[in-house]
Amino acid sequence: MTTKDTPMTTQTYVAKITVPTPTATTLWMRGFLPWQLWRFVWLNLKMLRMISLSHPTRRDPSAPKAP
Amino acid sequence: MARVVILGAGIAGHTAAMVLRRTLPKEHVVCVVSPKPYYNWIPSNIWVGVGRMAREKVVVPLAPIYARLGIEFIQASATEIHPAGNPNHPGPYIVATPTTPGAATESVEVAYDWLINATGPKLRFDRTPGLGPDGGHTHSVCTDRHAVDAATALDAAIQRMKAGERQTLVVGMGHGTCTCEGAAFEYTFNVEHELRRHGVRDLADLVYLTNEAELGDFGVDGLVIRNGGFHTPSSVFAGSFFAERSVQAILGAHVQAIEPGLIRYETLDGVDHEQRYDFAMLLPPFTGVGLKAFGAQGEDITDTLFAPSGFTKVDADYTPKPYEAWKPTDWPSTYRNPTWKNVFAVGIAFAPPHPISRPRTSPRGTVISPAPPRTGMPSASMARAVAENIADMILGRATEPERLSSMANMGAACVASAGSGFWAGNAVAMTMFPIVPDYTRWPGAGRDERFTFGEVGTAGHWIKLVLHHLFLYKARAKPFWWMVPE
Ligand SMILES: Cc1cc2nc3c(=O)[nH]c(=O)nc-3n(C[C@H](O)[C@H](O)[C@H](O)COP(=O)(O)OP(=O)(O)OC[C@H]3O[C@@H](n4cnc5c(N)ncnc54)[C@H](O)[C@@H]3O)c2cc1C
Repeated sequence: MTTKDTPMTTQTYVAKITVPTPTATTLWMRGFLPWQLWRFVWLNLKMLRMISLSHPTRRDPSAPKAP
Repeated sequence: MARVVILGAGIAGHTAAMVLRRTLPKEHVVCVVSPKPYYNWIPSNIWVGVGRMAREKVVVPLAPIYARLGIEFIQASATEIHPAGNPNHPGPYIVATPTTPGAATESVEVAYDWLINATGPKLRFDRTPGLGPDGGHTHSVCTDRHAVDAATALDAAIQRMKAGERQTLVVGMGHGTCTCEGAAFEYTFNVEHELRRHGVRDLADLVYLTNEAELGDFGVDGLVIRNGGFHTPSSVFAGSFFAERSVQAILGAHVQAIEPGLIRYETLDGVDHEQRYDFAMLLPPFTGVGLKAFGAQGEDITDTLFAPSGFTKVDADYTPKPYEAWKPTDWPSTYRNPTWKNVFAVGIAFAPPHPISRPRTSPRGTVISPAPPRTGMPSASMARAVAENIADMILGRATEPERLSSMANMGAACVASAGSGFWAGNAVAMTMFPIVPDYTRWPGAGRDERFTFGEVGTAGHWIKLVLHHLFLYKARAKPFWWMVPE
């Protein structure tokens, strides 16, 4: 049983709700196209930046050679 | 003239072959040895496994691409490496068994100057009695064909629900040492979406059964995600999604055996349990594919090239040490075998120095903790770096591998779709940087919070679709494929 279908007595409320669940607004925003279009651009830019950080680094010429 | 031989044509091997061919002048030979005639974009097997994508959309025939690019292709399964050659065959070579249907099955010897092992995992369904689609009772989405069978079985369960029968569907990990939890997570929510789409959600008990001690561990010890103005542990972030979609989770579980309709498992507290199921998709543990190595006199030198797990030893620090002593610098950066300097291993084929998740065992000594993931993005990144390093050494631009590509300095993106349809699809998009946490550079969370974030929405679904098309475009070596980043 999860938070959603737990009967709302005080006792089960305390015992079961351990994680946040989205509000109606949050759920709506997840599908609201103008907002999602913006998030698409934002996520892509962030991922591209992360990929550029992940590019191989060059060996430090002063570092000892690999074994 | 140099001969570079690449074993395997998956994400890592195919990337390495294409980069080498693009970088090296034509007098040098690039040769791929792989048992299947096609490349499989494995991440999209998830959609095949719920019947939302045809198998043909996730596979690409290799022969025409390699013919066009000038890459030699031998359809065969490598079995042996002879890094020192032998009196009959002076230079290094590999032995492979052809797999073209109807063709001779006599072993062939393929000489090399440089070797890249990118053979990925052997799917060890045999480690759990009753596991897997070939002779077992469960399904898998690890290969395109497994995914097709999983979709058929899932559809049968949905039809039973439509006839009013309640069904229990179990998705997750088929052994305590599995990796690839992200894939099982993604499949769970695709199944959940299908159940809703067919209007049978209320007749299904959907269970995620995993070796992770906490939700959101993903084999990387969990993340601290920047989301909605909070630093949120991935256990909470993932847990929220489970709660929202009413998916039950069984954590810290090692599946001991599977019988028709019944999964037997032990949990981290050492207690045995049983879980009933009508449909189950459980991933297998991975090992190396079981290549053997022989010295010049025919002596077995497998242990100079391979770890006991069958994965290739590279420039990692394999000294056994406790979790507290693990360091980011334990992780390899050149993927070069320390004994045989012209042998490299990339993708799942290299032996990691240790897990990333905290090691855990039950009081009975059963290891129940995820093996480290080597997902698509890092597999391709390290393959490109190794290919470019080899090209530089062949062309005399370098004497040592100069590009260092460690998973402790590399990010990963996990986009787990949770539904389909261009406008209505949803996905959980998560990124982390780096994959191997570094608690010295980022005290507390171990990762750079600017690039460790997660969110749910249609945007993530679009990203997943873009990745599908972009990477298949790249795999087909269409114009400017090399501009597509790993
Ligand atoms: C269902 C699923 C979903 C996933 N989703 C994602 C995702 O969304 N994002 C992500 O980044 N990662 C994902 N992954 C992980 C990703 O697929 C792997 O990280 C990636 O495939 C590893 O690449 P690889 O080249 O090392 O191995 P593979 O892709 O497995 O390729 C291995 C190659 O070696 C060949 N081979 C095998 N044995 C031999 C032999 N003896 N001789 C020669 N060749 C051999 C195989 O035929 C194959 O061509 C997913 C994995 C699964 C199972």
